This record gives sequence, structure tokens and C-alpha cells, in this order.
Amino acid sequence: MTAMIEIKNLRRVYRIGQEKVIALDHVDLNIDQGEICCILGTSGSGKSTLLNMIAGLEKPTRGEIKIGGRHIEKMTEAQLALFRQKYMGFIFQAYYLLPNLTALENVCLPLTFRGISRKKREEAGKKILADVGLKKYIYHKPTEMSGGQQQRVGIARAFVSKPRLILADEPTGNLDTATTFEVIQQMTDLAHQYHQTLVIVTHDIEIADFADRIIHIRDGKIEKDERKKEREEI
Amino acid sequence: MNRFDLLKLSLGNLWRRKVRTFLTVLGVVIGTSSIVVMISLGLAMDAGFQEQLQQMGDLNIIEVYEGGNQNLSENQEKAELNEKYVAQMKKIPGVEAVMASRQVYVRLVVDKKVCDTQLVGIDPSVQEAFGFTTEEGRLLQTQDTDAILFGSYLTQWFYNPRSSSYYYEESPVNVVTDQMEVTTNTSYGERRHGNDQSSEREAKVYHVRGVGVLSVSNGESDYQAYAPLSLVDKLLNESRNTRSDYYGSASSTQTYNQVKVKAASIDEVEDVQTIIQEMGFNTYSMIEMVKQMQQTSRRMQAILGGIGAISLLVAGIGITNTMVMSIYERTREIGVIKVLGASLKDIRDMFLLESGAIGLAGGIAGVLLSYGVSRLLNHFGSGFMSGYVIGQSNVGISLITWQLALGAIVFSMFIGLLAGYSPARRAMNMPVLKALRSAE
Repeated sequence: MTAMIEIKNLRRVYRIGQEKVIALDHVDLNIDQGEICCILGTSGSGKSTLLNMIAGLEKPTRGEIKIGGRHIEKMTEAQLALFRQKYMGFIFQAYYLLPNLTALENVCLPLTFRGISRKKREEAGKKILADVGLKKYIYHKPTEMSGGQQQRVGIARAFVSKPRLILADEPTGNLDTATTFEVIQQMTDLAHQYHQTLVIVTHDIEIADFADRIIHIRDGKIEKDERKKEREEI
Repeated sequence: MNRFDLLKLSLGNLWRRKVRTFLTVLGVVIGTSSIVVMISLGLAMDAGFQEQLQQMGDLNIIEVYEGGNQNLSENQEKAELNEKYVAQMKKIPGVEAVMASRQVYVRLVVDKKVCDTQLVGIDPSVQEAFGFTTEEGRLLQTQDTDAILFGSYLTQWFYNPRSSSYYYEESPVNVVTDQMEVTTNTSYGERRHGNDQSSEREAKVYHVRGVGVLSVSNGESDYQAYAPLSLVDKLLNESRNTRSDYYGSASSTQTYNQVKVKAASIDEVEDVQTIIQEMGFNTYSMIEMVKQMQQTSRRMQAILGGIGAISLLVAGIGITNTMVMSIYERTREIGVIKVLGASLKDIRDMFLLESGAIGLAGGIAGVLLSYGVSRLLNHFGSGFMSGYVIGQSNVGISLITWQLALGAIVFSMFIGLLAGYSPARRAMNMPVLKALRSAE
């Protein structure tokens, strides 16, 4: 299998006043194409920092990150914007839907940014909204939907452009338990279906169970890296 | 991202904050209309000047007189209005035509009625250049030798010399006729008094033809008659030979009484004038007055426009403020659309479109409002303002040309873009992570 994400000797230091805070240190990690991977850690462990650097939202202090074979730590803002547009989908904890757009328009946004025609993108948008079970809600505004429904719109938005890599930051953090499982199931199903790489950051061990691979992070270091098969064997 | 989607997104954002958008647009409306109305006052003044000047005469014409320039070098002969100088004037670049004339005071006789007037001898070929048009009949032609062209008011000045009253109560005479006589004898046709034993021989009477009547020009040509130079010269010689108290203005047929030079365009008048003055002549044209009027109206327009510009400036600051506010509010949204793949250019353009749309909408509404204000001003304000506005005439006191209207709309859109530029750049350069983390 080809590696989707290759991280070598990654280090990230924040400077707060006079003090140095080492958020990540000596992180080496490869994630394969099509792998569903969970980065698990407590608050302050550095898991979100790791995700942000994979997304190109933060620059590493040292080390390198390659996504699909390309060094993203060297890209400019404009290049990164284009790169994200082509290869990445995002799911956020607080959904981040645009309040003045309908569910369908929100879902279609990544395609709109790519300059795809209205007809084509709405076709794709309607299909993916049906996949997440929101067929009836395509013309609803975010304020007219429940949290779980909103997050499903968020998922549809991340998947609609069929990106090779999907990054989810605490995607179920604002949802109740029942909805959490539904939503996470949908995410993993979709990722499996299109053979996409999915990286979920969470502090919730129950969510981690849905992943093929769990990477435990603690104090900025990878503590444990276990695969589902191994876990099942134990 | 294609243009249409971008536009839709931007307009959607403006619509989301209707009240604020409306208030910001209102600011631009007020700014634009104040600038437009102010400038319209200046334009109306300008148009009024132009109209007044046109009534005064042709702006391109320079009148040339003898004498004047005292600073002639010693070896330069005194400039005379003769053939040699006229030929030189014709060669000055920018000169379209030169009308050199000699005049003689004559009596014209038609159907036993007479009219005393100045007969101006000209070269018929320059008539068109000097704006001669006929009301009746035709202009003089180069081959004419005995033709006379009448100024428009002259036809009413014929009277019967034998009648007791000298007033012109009689109906106008048809002067376009072959039955006409001309003489320098200004008592021709009157009853002879017994004691009138003048030793002078009486001036000859020539048979001539009236060929046409000029249109009203509101100038001296209304009161004169025109003839080919050859006819005038003949009459001048006759006059000199018969009258001791000769008071015809031309001393000889070698020089001209009056020379008028027409420049091809108003821009060339000054240069031509300078060259003629250097020849040693005095000149007069309307150009000084025009320049002075233009200067005055420029200054007025600048002042009025400046006052208007201040309010548009305030409106521009209003737009910037609205856009800055909008960016603060939408910080997270900007972060989200950046992560979702909006290019930096798209984000900048989105904000520019929003501020440009505010400017454009305000500009259009402002121009419409200005038309209304302008109509009101013209309707009610003309009496009130007439004491202050010099060039006032039937143009009114406010004039909005289409150039002004279009210019105002484009300008206010430009102000919108300018006001939105810095906020747009700020949105574009906002770090994604910081934007995402910002509290709503």
C-alpha cells in the first residue's frame, strides 16, 4: 500500500512569553491510502496540533510532512489553499456550516470553490446528502436542523468532492452518544466505500474503536500505535 | 470559483445584514448625490456662460486694428491693413479665413423708397466661413459685380424720401429684385430745394441687384449691406470725386477698414492672436472673456465638487467601517471557507465585490436622487439663486449631463472598491487557524 501521509521527525514548539512549550516532538508516522485512523489523546496531548500540521494550517518547527508525496511544509498559503481544495476534506467539531446557505449549498461549497457548474455540483450534493440520510433536508438552513443533522451535512460537505484525505477534528464532540455512533458509522462507511483516508482526532476511546488503527498521543509523543487486527487478537 | 457563484455569495452576505447594508448604501447615496448636485450647479453655470457667449458672437473671430503695438523694432514699418498683411494673416497656421473689408456710406433705392446704410465690400468666398446664411435669396458669388446682400433688419429701414415723415412706418420692401439703384449721393431722390446750387457734380447712380437677405445674427451684420469689393471700390472712388465733405471711412482702395480673422478652432485663437499682434496690430477677440469665465466656473466647480467630495469621503469611511465589522463578525466563516478550499483570491474578491456592490448601489440610487433634487432646484430655486449664479439662463441652475451621471456611478463604485480593499486584504491574509478559533 502507498503511504498517504508521511511524517518524519516532526517537532512543534510554541513560545508563550518566555516559556517554550513543546507540543510535539520526534513524531514519525505513516498513514496509508484508504486507512481509517484515529489519533487519540487527552486535551493538551498535541493531537490537534498534529492534525493542524497535516492540514497545513500550522507550520512545523522542524521535520517534514508529505501528503500524497508532496511536502506541504514548504508550500505558500496560496498553494496550500489549492492543495486543500484538491486533496482534502474537513469535518469540524462545531460543524461550521455557513448560516445563510441551505444544506445543499453548504455541501456544494467545496465544489463551488473548484468552479464546478451548478448543475453538476447540485447533482453530487443531493446524492451525498441522500447517502447520509438527509434527503428531506436539502433546502433547510442550518438553524432549522438538529446538531446531528448539521454534522451530517458537515460530513457530506467533506466527502462531496471525493478528496483522498479527510480530516476530522473531534467530529462528535458536540453530539449525544446515540447520535455519535450514527455519525461516526456514516463517516467510516463513506470512507470505506470510496477507499479514502480518514484521520479522526478524538479523546473518546469508544469512537476510536471504529478505526482501523489507533495512535495514542501523550505529551507530544506517540505513545502507542495499534491496529485493529492486533487489538482483536488480544 | 466562477464569477457568478462568487457574486451570489457576496450578495447573499449583504442580504444577510440588510439593515446595515441599507444604512451603508444610504451613506453612499447621500455622498454621491451631494457631489452630483454640487457639480451640476457648476455645469449649469458653464452652460449658461456658453450660451451668453454665443449670443455675443462667434468666439473664433479675431478683429484686427491698426496701431497698438508700441514695441516695434525701428526698422519695422508701421503695420497697415493692406493687401500684403492680409495675405500674411491668411498664411498663419490655424487661420481658416480672413475677411478684409472696405466700407462706403450709400443710399439704396428700391421702388422710390430709399435706405441709407453702410455698404461693406468683401471677398464673397469667405462668407460661409464667417457664418453668413440667408433668410431669403442667396449669398454673394465670386463672379458677382453688381450684387447686394442685405442685413436682416435693413429691409425695414426703407422710407419714402418725399413723404413728410421720415419714419419707417411703411411695410418692408422686397429687396430681392433686379430693380435697385445705389449711389453715394445721400440726398438722392429727395425734392430739390431752390437754393441748392451746389457746385459739385452729383454722384453717379448705379444699377444693381439685390440678391438676398441674411438671417438674423444679433450682430453688426444685421444693420449692414454687403457687396463685392469691386462695387464698393467703384462707389468709393465716385464718392471721393464728388464730395468735399467726404467722410467715408476708407482713405483709399489700397487699405481695408476692417479685417476679421477666423481661427479654425477656439484653441487656436490665442496663438493666432499673438502672431497678429507681433505683426504690429491691435486685436480683439472674445477669448480673454471666455478664459476668464472658464476660470471662474472651474474654480466654482472645484469648490462645489470639493464640498460634495467630503460627504462621499465620509460615505467611503462608512463602507470601510462596515466591511471591517463584517470581517470581525465573519472571521470564523472566512477560516471555514479557506479550509474548504476557497483560494485567497476568491476571498479577497468576495469582500471587494461586497464593498463594490455597496458603492454601485449607492451610486445608482444617488444619481437618481440627484436627478430629483436637480429638478426641484430648477423648478423652485431659480428665482432664489439668480442673484448668485452669474451664467444663469434658460439652462436652469442645475444641469446633470449623462457624463456626470455615469461618472458619478463609476466613481462611487470605485470608492466602494477602494474602501473595501484594505479589509479584503485583511480577510485574505488572515491565518486560517486563528480565524477558526475565534469566538463568534
